[in-house]
Amino acid sequence: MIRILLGNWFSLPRVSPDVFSKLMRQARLRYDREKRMFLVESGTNVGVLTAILKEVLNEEVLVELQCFVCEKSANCGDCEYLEICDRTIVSSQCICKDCFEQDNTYEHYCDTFSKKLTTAKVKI
Amino acid sequence: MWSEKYRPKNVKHIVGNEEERITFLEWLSNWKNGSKPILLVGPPGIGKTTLVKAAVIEFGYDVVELNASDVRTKDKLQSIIPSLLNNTSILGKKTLLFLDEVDGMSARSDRGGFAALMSLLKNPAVPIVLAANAEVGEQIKELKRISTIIKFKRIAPRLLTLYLDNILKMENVKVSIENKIRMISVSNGDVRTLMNEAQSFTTTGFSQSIHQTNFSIDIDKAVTDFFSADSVEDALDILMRSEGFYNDPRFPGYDTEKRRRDKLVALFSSIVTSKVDLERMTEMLNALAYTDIIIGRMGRTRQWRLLRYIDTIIAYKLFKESRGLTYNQYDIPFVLMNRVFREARLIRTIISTFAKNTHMSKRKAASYLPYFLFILARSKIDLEEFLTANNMDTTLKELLKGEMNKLVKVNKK
Repeated sequence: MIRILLGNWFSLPRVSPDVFSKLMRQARLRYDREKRMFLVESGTNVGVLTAILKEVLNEEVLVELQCFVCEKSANCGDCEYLEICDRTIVSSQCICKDCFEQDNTYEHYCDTFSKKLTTAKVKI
Repeated sequence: MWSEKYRPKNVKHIVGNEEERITFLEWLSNWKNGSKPILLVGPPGIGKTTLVKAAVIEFGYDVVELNASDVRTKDKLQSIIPSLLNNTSILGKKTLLFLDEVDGMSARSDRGGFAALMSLLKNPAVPIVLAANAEVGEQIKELKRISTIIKFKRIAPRLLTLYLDNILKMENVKVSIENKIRMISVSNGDVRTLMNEAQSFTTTGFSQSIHQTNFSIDIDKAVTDFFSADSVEDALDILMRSEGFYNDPRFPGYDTEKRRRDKLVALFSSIVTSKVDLERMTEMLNALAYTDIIIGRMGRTRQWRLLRYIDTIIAYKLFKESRGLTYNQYDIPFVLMNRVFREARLIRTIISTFAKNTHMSKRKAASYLPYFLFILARSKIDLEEFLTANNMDTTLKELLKGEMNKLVKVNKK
């Protein structure tokens, strides 16, 4: 199984130029030549990406969201909402079970957003 | 409504689309004269409008908002542009122009509005934010060329749970995990639907979102099932799940096949072709006429969001009288329809010959035809002789005679 964590760089086995072209043009992945790694960006069509990878690599593809608070994987494979969460159409970040089960999670989530705004030098 | 009561007033209180929110706020905080407008695209209920409204408060802007409910003609836009060019409002605050649902701008009802908008966007003197639900159509293509696009996506279920839990805590209400999962599943990543669903469930114990399910049924099956439903609730459920829709001018270009699927039309055709007594038919047609008037008013006042209540109106107004009917796609009985088609073809032949002989357009000839037939009926000319003299097909004689008799009868009355 191939696991892809949205928002993080990932590597793939060597693919043919045609497939690479499909990944770039149809799925709109980003590729770093030096790292030889791919990145799912906000413009990436995750549905197309998984379809291409399934067809080419003949393996199941598990797309995982990133936890907005701790920035680790949200462990979508173990999530209670796995069946109803279409990760090809939802925004790339979620919240992992550990962060979710803490006290005052919502406030924590909001504060994390404020911190990231400060990091991005957005002055309100 | 919880969706309004708990609408976030601060950008950090919104859930989901974190990167997109940060990108938008970066754009707004770095905005300078001439910066490209921003186009927020994404499905409804995921926080585009909320983000803009919260951001303008936090950044100290006055917002000039024009949504699909407002008239956005060229004149209207040109009347607000000069004040926007000053970049400050009466109270000295900076101004931001927010055009919501730009994909709903109509070429017909927003006359010249889109062209005026494009010229405003090319050289913006104030921050301009556009929002659209879908990234399709010629207008959106043009807007994408001259603006920076941010794509918003649906919200992941666990984030929705986080938000829902917070609201339920404030309302001091408890909901079982099974019901939460059901509500979140039904909301399909849409916060507004989730709020409506949660409020409906916690206050009445009923779900209001059966229509949000992904299981849609064909219009023919839906209408037949509607007529045979055991209860008004079941009938409403069926209508809400049907693939039919009410014509919404924001989405032009429907082909004939789709127009046929208009639920109101399907119900109308099924009723008028049914074998029910006149009293019952009158009741049902009155119900449809009432609904049609309401839809018309919604269109005129541009309150398209209210279209969602039409199913409920129809279900309750039509349920009692419509038991036992079946779907029919034709709005007149087959025997009558056959006659209408045949006679219409013949009448078109008369019109075209009449137009040719009198050197008029067919349209004009059609408008004069009843008067011509009336004169013909009063003059007691031999019809066959008249048709031969005017190079007209003599087989039209019976039809002409029939039409003339009808006119004479009407005149006598």
